[in-house]
Amino acid sequence: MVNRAPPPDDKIVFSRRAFILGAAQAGLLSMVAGRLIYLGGIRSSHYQTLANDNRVKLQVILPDRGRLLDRYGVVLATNQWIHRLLLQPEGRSLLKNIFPTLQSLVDLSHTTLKDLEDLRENTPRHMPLIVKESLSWEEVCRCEMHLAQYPFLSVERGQRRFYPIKDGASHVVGYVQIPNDKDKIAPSFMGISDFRLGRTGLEKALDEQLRGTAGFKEIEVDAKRRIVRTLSVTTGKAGHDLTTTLDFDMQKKAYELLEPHLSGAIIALDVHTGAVRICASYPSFDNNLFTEGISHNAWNALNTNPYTPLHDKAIKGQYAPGSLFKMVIALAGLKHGKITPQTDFFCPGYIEVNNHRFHCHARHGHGQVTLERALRESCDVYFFESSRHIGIDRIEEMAKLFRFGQKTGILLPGEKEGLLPNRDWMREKNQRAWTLADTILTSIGQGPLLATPLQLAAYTAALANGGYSVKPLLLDRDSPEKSFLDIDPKHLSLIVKSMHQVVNHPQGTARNSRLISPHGEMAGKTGTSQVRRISKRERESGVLRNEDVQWRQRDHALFAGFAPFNNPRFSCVALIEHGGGGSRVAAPIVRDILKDLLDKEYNDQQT
Amino acid sequence: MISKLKQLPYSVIFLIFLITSLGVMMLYSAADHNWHPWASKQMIRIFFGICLMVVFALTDLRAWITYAYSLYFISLILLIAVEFMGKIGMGAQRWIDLYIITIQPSEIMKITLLLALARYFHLTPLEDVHRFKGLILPLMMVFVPCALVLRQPDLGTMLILAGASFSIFFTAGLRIWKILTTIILSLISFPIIWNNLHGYQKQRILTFLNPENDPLGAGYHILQSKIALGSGGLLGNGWGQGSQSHLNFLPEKQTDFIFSMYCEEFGVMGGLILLFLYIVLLGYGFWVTLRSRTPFGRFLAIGLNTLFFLYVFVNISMVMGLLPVVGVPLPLVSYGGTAMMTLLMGFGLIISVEIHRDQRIGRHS
Repeated sequence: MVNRAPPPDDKIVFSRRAFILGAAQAGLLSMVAGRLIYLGGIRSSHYQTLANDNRVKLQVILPDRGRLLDRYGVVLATNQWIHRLLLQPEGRSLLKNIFPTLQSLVDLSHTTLKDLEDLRENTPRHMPLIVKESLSWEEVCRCEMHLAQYPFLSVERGQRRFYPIKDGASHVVGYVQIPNDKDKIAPSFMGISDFRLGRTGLEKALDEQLRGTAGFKEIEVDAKRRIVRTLSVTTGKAGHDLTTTLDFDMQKKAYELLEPHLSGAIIALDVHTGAVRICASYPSFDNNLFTEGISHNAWNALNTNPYTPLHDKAIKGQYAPGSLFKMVIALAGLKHGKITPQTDFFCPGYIEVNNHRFHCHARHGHGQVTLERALRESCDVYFFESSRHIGIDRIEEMAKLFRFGQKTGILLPGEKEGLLPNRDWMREKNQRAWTLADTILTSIGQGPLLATPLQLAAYTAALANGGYSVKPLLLDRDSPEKSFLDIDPKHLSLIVKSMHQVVNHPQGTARNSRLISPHGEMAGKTGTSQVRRISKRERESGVLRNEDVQWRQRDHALFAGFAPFNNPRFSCVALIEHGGGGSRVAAPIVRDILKDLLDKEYNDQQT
Repeated sequence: MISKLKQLPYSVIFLIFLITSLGVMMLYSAADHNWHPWASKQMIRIFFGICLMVVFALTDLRAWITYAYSLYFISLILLIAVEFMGKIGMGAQRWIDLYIITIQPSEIMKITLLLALARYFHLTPLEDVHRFKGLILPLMMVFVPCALVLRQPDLGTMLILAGASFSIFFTAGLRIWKILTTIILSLISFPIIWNNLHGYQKQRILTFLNPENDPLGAGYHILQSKIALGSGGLLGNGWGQGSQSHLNFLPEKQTDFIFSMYCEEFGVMGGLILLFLYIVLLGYGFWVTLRSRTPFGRFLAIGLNTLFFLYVFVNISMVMGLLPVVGVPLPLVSYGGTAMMTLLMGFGLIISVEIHRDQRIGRHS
């Protein structure tokens, strides 16, 4: 054949189409190559970051929490090593099956399977479950022996806050708690079993300093969040140990003195520096109950206790100051010349104003009374009369100097400011004008007037130290804050002299509580804070004595004292809820406290 | 026989050996510097696969065309058998367990379908290809296995079957407008297909469109794959030093996502080199296609070449987030028995086409 047959059509078609295919494939592969260069070249650092995000995690290392100490170094709050039994994330689903095993290893009499299942619901998936906190040494040994059999169980060592004093200074020291959602804690901290937040008292007020600074560990993890190795460690700083001004022994003594009276508070301050030696509220509770989460029963018991152990009466209890307020009236009167040391009024046992009778506590009256006697024997009529001349505005002015109605500014959270009523207040609260009757009530420290035991102690200190207002201090290292009150020293000295007579004069209302001590004598003022109104009918038939009335209706007993009289050092206020008479119940307590404080103080100085 | 042996393209065989060795290296690294459990098994498979490849290569082309339809029907029966007897693995019913070995009929189907199509179009004149009548039978030949595979469900294999088959239809002269019509028809039938997809397949497509939507769930694979791949940078972290794969952040690192691990350790450079090796292989297949003097050889070669191309393209695009995750392994590298065998058998056939290129086979049955 000479002529070659033309190539068959289908071959042409095939070749053409094959080339199209080839070109398409080449195009697609170039796109792939381009994408590869993009991801691995241009975007490489972005993916590097993500790769590191995957595998590098930060673990927080919790520093030791600082301790709280009393002025002599007695430990009020510290940390204890504890062991806890953990169920690792891999074992979470086995909870039901291994519950009997867990029961055989540790005491779970207070935990049901349901409790643990609930806990599992609330614990993030990659975190271990805390089966039991605070294992006993026996439990630790038992667990360690069997750990090889159960690879998903482990024993972890941690720290727990511990209050060795249990209920000696519970309100002041406060307690720590496991943080909750409302606390706005960073997620990396929430995962740490040991992390606690100060919730009340000094634990809360000083939380930041006690906490210290966290350290960090950079760790490498795999896709199951298991730790592969540690990359780096940055150490943190332990929290500071802080020394308070409290005297724990005296605090304990205060508790013992309050115990028979069921409910009350005692404050003792250094009159010159404001350092708080005692800040006790009775009854109290064991702070340790709160650190790991308080049980329902314990919480209910505390909440329903009629003597309110959870309530810090020393700084939050607000009471009518009663006769303790009379010094304010006196000073206001002297300052504005409305009364003089010689001014006398006649006390028949009552006064009548606008057809209403206001009674003196002495049924038959005191007769002619001057200021000194009025304070010494706590004549109400003297103050009723003088207050009519002085007027509420001047009284308010003097009370404000002594910081009634204002917080003292003590370091503790939740302090109450009491109540100093005035004209504006009456109009706002009760939609009426201030009346003379209101002034009269205020003159003997009743009516809407309220103050906390702490305020009363600070007020007493100001009287004792020569007219300086001092801020109550709780930390050893804080410097005193004093401000001079512009009070005529002659007036002050008369008041203070009268207060001395309250205790040491044969007719003083607290004559049965004289302080016998080589270091000096006590001065003070009794007070009775009325709780119920005494009806007219009762007056006619004979006012019931406090002992005959139900506890809750009895008056509160108050006494404010300071010592030594010649060179004042400490002021002390005792409040006994529903205690009845201030002289009978509260004064002896203050005397005992001051005696011991002085003994310690002067012995310390000698050694 | 001896002359045939001399004609074996030893350079190509070496190239294949090189690629599979890279795979073995990665499997060694993936197992934390251990021959077990993957690298050792893979090497055995490679050995047997290459032997099989050579056997196929030396087999006469005429034998292949003779048995094309029979082989097709056998695999079709096996595929149907899977429907009823299948052993379930990885959420898809794809295997037949014969106690000694497991057979994956869908893999075998890839070869036999192409053989059958090549034979059909070899025997069909161009005019018949242009007419609809000539297309009914081959379409059925494609449609039936595709439907069965889709039901398994195995979207990836179905697409590859369809794609490779298409290359034969296309080069056989299928009219363009028919192609366009089909595209339009499939777009219209998209909703039907969508409804027939399993939940996880739908999820995969949605995730493909936006992987960041569900980084811990469906988007996890893609995201981790890109992280591993991208973090290798240009030169990689070094053999055995891929953190993402070794810390188990990269899933399926020995199978579908082996390319990501490879790039994590050898970088973009390594990736481009591997891609280049694949391109050379594809080029060889293309070269064989053009040189063959019989339509059967040409169709067979282009079909197998396209098959190989699709494996490469789909897997690498998938691990880079360009395509949804469809479970297609990286050819000659991913750990897996049947896929490796199939590919090597396919290369055997391509080499056979080359060796027997001068054979003339009649175009009338």
